[in-house]
Amino acid sequence: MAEPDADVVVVGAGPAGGVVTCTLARRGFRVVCLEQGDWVRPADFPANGPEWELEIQRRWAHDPNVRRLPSDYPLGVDGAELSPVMFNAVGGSSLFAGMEWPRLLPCDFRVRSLDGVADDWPIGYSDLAPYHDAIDRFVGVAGVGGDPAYPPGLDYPLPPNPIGGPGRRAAEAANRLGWHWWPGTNAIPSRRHGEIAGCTRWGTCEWGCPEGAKASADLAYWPPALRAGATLVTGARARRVETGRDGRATGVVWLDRAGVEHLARARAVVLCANGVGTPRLLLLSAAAAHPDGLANSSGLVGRNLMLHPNCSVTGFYDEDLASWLGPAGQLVYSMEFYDTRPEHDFVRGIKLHALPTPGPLNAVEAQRRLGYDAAWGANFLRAAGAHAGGILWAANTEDLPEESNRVTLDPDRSDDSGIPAPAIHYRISENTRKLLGFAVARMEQLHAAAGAVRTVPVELWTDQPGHLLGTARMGSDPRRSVVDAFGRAHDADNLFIADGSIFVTGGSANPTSTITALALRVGRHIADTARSAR
Amino acid sequence: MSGLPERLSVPPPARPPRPLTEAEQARYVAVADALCRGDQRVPPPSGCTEFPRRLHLALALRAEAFDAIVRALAAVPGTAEELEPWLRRLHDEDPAMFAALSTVAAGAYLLEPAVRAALGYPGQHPDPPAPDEALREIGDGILDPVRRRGPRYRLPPDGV
Repeated sequence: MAEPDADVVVVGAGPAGGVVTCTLARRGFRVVCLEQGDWVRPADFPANGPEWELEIQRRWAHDPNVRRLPSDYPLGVDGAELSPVMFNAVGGSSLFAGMEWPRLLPCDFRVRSLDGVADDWPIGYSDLAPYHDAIDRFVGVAGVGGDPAYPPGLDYPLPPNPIGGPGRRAAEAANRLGWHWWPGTNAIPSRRHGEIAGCTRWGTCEWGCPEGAKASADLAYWPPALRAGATLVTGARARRVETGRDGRATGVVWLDRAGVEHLARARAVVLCANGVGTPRLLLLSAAAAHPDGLANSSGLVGRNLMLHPNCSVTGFYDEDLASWLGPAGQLVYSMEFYDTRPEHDFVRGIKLHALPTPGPLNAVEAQRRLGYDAAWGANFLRAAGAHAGGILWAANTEDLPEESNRVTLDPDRSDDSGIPAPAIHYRISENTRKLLGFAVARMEQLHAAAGAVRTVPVELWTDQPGHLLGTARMGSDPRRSVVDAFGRAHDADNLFIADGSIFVTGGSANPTSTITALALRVGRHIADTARSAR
Repeated sequence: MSGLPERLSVPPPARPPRPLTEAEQARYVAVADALCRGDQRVPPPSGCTEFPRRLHLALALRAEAFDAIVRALAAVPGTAEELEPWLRRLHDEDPAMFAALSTVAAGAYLLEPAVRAALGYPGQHPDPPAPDEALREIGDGILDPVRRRGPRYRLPPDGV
């Protein structure tokens, strides 16, 4: 084999790719990262202008099929009840994430043992805890330690951000109901933390922070990765992973902005292209020796897609809560119904989180579903004025892995480089439907306890969230999983996956915290074992 | 330049396919007046001198809906009495069209500084908290009930 261009090629510069690249570059490895998007600067984000609420409807939408930027690829969603969302840039979807930073709970790693459904992870809560701690220190997570929903010892490096008027009112309601709640844990530093500014409460975290005050991967991981000598190639569309006669990865074929094909040769390849992009690339890498896709001897590449179907109830109050203030980011969260309970007619549970409701046009848009007279004509100014007194309670539901929920290659769609697009096949299970209905009822209960004057339930967000999990699951049995407990492909020992694809089950905690902890574990493992692997 | 986009992950500058004609603009202002009524604090859209400019900006930001909106404007009835019933019918019978038409009108109107002031909306802006604000908010015992209930996590059979 010719001398490789790098020790490691990483595909995707989002949170997982940033962590892996930074970790390996700081350990002295030559790392090349291929990213199909490019840089977005804080001054680019829509909240810099007063027209931001119109900007986010299309041009900066979360859904790539709506946004259609040059960095995006289309998603075939004809067979899906939800449209997965993502952002393609240096930093990936973390640019558009609220950076809610909960960890999975111990029960999440043992769903089969505890509840008799799905599968157990090959690792447990305590295996990941030190990696979480290291990531939290690195990015400056802000929160309050001692949450009784977690085992003892969980604390955060920075003090919390304010919970504000909406958070305070939400918390008082939870107390009235006797339910668990806790001040929000967010990867949004409450004071400057290295490259990352302290939060100044712009309130638009999910559409990019104009202050550069959240730990998106472009700010948290890429500056130190580049200082350590990593190479980042933007505008690089990965076409396939190349393999040698021995079945091991030899590099990644990619297309530049002009469509010219290149090969980045490496001793190891790490895929961090998210729970849709990673299985797409593995399926695109089919060859004579592996006609069903690379690393797919189990047949599970692309299967078990989990999306955390979201629902919400926005409540409007007759009090000025200054609901334009951030972070957003979770102000408070509740794990009251996170786990299985014997009295429920479903298994597993939901995570609830309360957020502010910035913007009068957004308030009108929320209320338009209540009918013409709720938002228009003589009631328009009242509907718009409700922005100041809003609380958004939203829920992640734990959708269990099902092999029929999957990512395949779309026979009819391709990106503008001619690379086949992914097709999403996703149906909401009966268990998840029960969870969604249960979550809406609980959020209505919270608003009632807080004295909301009107509520707007949304029983399913069809274009949220960007939690893309499970499509190349980890496990000890190569017949039942794609990678091992360190993200190493069972079928190719120098091919690794370090993104949300490797989740076995999804819990209902927002996953980026876990994705980055797993990525750090994968990155360190690659560094620790490189000599023997060679 | 090669014709390749300069920015891959940032939208290009916004512009509508073309400016509205005078007749289209007049109809759209009438629609906006019906949808977004002012009150004693603020004039309706037709009373805001900058509204046409803001409407142009809003259309630029929803350029993909421009053709549909222009088609809808062509169907706007000629009298004020007929306008609101027409909008209600559109709301019920063509929700997507109504959504595009109304969000551009409302979005433009809500850019008016006087409207924002009347609604108490300062816009999104940096507003750093006082150093002790967060701890003051939760330092009055509001967390005590949660702590009193104690641990609530479930351990798996093989421990943490």
